[in-house]
Amino acid sequence: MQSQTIPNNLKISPYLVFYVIISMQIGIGVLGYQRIIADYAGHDAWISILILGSYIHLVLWMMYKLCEMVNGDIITVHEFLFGRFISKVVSFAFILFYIIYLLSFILNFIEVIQIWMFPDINNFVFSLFFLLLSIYIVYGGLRTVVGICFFGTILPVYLIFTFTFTLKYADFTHLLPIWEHNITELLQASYHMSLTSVGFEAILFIYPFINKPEKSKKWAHIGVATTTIFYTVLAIIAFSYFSKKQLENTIWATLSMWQMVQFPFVERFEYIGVANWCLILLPNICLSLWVASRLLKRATKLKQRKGAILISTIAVIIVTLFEKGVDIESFNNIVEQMTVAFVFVYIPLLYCLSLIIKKVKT
Amino acid sequence: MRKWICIICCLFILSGCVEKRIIDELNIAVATGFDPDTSDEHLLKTTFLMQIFNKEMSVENKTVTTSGDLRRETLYKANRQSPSPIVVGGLRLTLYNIAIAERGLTPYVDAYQRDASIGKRIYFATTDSSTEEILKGEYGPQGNGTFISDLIDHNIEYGDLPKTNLTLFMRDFYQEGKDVFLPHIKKINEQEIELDGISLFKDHASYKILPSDKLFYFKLLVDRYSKGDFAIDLPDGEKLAIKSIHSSHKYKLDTNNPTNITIKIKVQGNIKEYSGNNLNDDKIKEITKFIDKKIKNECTALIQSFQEDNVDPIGIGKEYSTKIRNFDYEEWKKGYPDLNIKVDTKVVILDIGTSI
Repeated sequence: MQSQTIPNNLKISPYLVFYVIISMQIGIGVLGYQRIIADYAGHDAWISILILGSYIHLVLWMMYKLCEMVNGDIITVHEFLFGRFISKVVSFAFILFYIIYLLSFILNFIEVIQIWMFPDINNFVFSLFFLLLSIYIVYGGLRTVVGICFFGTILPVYLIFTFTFTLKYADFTHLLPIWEHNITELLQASYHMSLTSVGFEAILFIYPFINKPEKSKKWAHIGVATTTIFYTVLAIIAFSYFSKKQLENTIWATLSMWQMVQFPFVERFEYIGVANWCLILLPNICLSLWVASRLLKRATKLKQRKGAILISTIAVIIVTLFEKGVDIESFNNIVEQMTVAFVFVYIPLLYCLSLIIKKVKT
Repeated sequence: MRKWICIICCLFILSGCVEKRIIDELNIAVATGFDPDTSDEHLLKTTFLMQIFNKEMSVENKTVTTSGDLRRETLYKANRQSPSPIVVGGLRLTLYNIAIAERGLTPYVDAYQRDASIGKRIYFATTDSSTEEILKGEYGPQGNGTFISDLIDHNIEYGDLPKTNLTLFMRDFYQEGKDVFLPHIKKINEQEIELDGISLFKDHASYKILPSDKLFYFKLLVDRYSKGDFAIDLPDGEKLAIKSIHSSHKYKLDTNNPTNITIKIKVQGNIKEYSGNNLNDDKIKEITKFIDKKIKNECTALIQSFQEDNVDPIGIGKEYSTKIRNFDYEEWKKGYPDLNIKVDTKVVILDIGTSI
């Protein structure tokens, strides 16, 4: 087993993990997760978010245990457990995972822009610019990427206050009676919430870059708890704002709630909201790109800068060739299954396996 | 390398890649109206009202009327009569002729929900006269669209109109156990217009107009007052005006027998004007009791008429669904006319002004 040594000046402070987790978890899904979970658990779906949130804490704890075991990232874990060959195969699987992950952000965001703001925005031009910016940030190394995560969390925070406008029209009796749905329905909703909640698995890859990683644990858990509470509150606001069947007809509930917000200087707030969402997506895309290019570097000795360009080129080509509308739905389903399989099934299994293998080896 | 990236970026950014819309080159529709077309019953006559801002700071009303089958189709046709493209992003008001509303508003809702460019704060209203006539009048210097929507706006805040807008209409439209209602507007003459009551809907189609003198009691039942005025004739021939009315209502379900439901209404207000001369404590008590009884009787009568017509604009069905687990709406609906709905009122007079 070889553990990588990262020079101290490239490492990040433990508290920054808080921003990494939040900015990675909050992505494109927030704009419309309320309808998806309400399809399964109705007005009780906020309970599902809490269920999933507690499970995420457990998975996060396992991730830290795995990384602590080898004092390295998830690839080192595989190398330690199964040998070099398997770890290479797994690396490529993860590269693919992150490319698809990155694509899902760009494609969904382009769809939102096309429907809400500019119907004729060009897939190619938009993705090219967004990825050029991301490449530029990735060139700065992980510390720059984490800096973007920090700003991508702090700057859009004011958007939370805009939801207080909808409270005037909220009817909290929509949430009654509580616990009308059975546990299977709640778990189904939790399953469909998972795509919106993932992103924290980035910790598996940036672990070697954290200065005093054991101190970052606390911040990672606080980060996960913050997003869980945010999602729950936002879901409750949406459930009280829309009636049940109305929500079934509303694809982007968060954006539709913004249609109610009005300032003396802004007639329609959702345009500002969508434009601001660029800033929330930027850390997601940058960190995904960073992880994918870093894995490529470790697996093939290709320079990370060249890797980033290669991956972005692939992404731009796929985005340009993508057919509008219909494909995105099935693409999102695939991404959802993939993330659930990786984050919520594979990681716990790997953790159990590591316990056994460690016992056998010693 | 970095220099090249910058140059390429500039090239793309400076060229501009999305459609521009310059506000001076658009006709922004502020109100639309739907009328039945007399020549063919399948067709709609749609009127778009645009505001043209003149140099002398005045607003000119311009209307375009077309007929067609779909809501959007009429917009395309309207563009043939307009010097610049008509956009619906600035819509503030939509009027429905009562004949259209009686056919049902279901086909109209979709266009308003699907189109992201339409705001969610716009008002819907019904009217007896043709909407084209109403939008063609001259009501005030601010332009007709703004005039009518402001009229509705301040009547919601200070008057007897319950809260309404597209968001709330959509919510009730899809809500099981609540029927929608819309403000009803009447044209008096070319310069004047008034709020004439509320049109009640049954299964998404208008069926009855609730006159404006019942609106106070209706609002007590469906919404709450934060500021409001109310005048009443006392039994001894005197008159009384009350202002700054606050009200709230609560539902109480009999746990043993769920067919009994009590609506508790609480009203608070200050006496502003009294035509008699001595307003002592006994008199106030007497007045309070009288108002209490009056509200109770009027509200009970309203509810009974709703039960007879089998409509539920108050949302009693919705109230049941939040209190009873695994609520079966269809089953409940059959028993709705026989529900025992009681109204319980509590009137508090907070102060009587500066004179006795």
